[in-house]
Amino acid sequence: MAFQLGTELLDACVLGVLMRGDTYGYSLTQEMTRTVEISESTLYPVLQRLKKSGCLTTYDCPVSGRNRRYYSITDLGRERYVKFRTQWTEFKEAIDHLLGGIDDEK
Amino acid sequence: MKNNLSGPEFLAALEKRLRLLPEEERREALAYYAEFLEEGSPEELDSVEETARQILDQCAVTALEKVEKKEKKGGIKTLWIVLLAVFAAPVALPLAIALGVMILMTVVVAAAIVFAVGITGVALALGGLWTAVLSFTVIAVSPVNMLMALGLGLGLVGIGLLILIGMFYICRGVVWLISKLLGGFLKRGGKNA
Repeated sequence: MAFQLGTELLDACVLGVLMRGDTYGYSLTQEMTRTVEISESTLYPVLQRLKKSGCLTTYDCPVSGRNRRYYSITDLGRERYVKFRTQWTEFKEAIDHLLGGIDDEK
Repeated sequence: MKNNLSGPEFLAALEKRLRLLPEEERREALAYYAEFLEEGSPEELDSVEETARQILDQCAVTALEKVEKKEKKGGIKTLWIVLLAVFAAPVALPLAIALGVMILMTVVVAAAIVFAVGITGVALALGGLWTAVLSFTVIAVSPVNMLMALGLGLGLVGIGLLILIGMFYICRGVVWLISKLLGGFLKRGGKNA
């Protein structure tokens, strides 16, 4: 993919995935890499950052004898997600306008 | 760069590179990658160098944010000291006033004693002089009494003068002592401020 995601967008995307429900590390990675080219080494710091700023919490759950750490969005995280959502819409429209095409036809 | 180590090798190498991190951070990161390797394959990971660098960067940023928060606390600490000083003033101020009054009283008492003794000296000297002068009025009646009165009078003048001279030196000494004490007190106060 030609575009790189900055820290803000990465945070927003992870929060977006968590908005649909709690998930664990590997599953989150799979979901993210399906759409974005992102490596594991980038994703872990994103999770740590969101955890330390109080946007998500973790809890451990034993699955078939092994421990699995789940990530869950907090109220603060939901607030930030809503902000990201409106900012993204504005940003997308601005970029669309700069790129031209669809909007210019109207 | 992609990782070309096996899962256990990767974890061991990562632990080595994170040894400078706080125990908890290191344990959490290693647990995360260990869990990832339960389902994922080592080839999906970035190289150990890159992985460690990302974790260390993240921890450095968090540490910096903590330091900034601590600096803000420093400002609050100063505020506390100022508040403490304000609340201590009702106690400290009367204490200072009491100390000042005590010093002033000491000076006043000393001056009063000096004045009283001085007056005694003056009275003795004047009384003696008067006695000596009056002694001449009885010179015709009783020369012996006149001589005795004259001697007594002159003796009193002498005692009075001695007291006055003594008082003069004591006064000078006391003034010198007080000025020295006050000077030392003010000097020390100045140094402390």
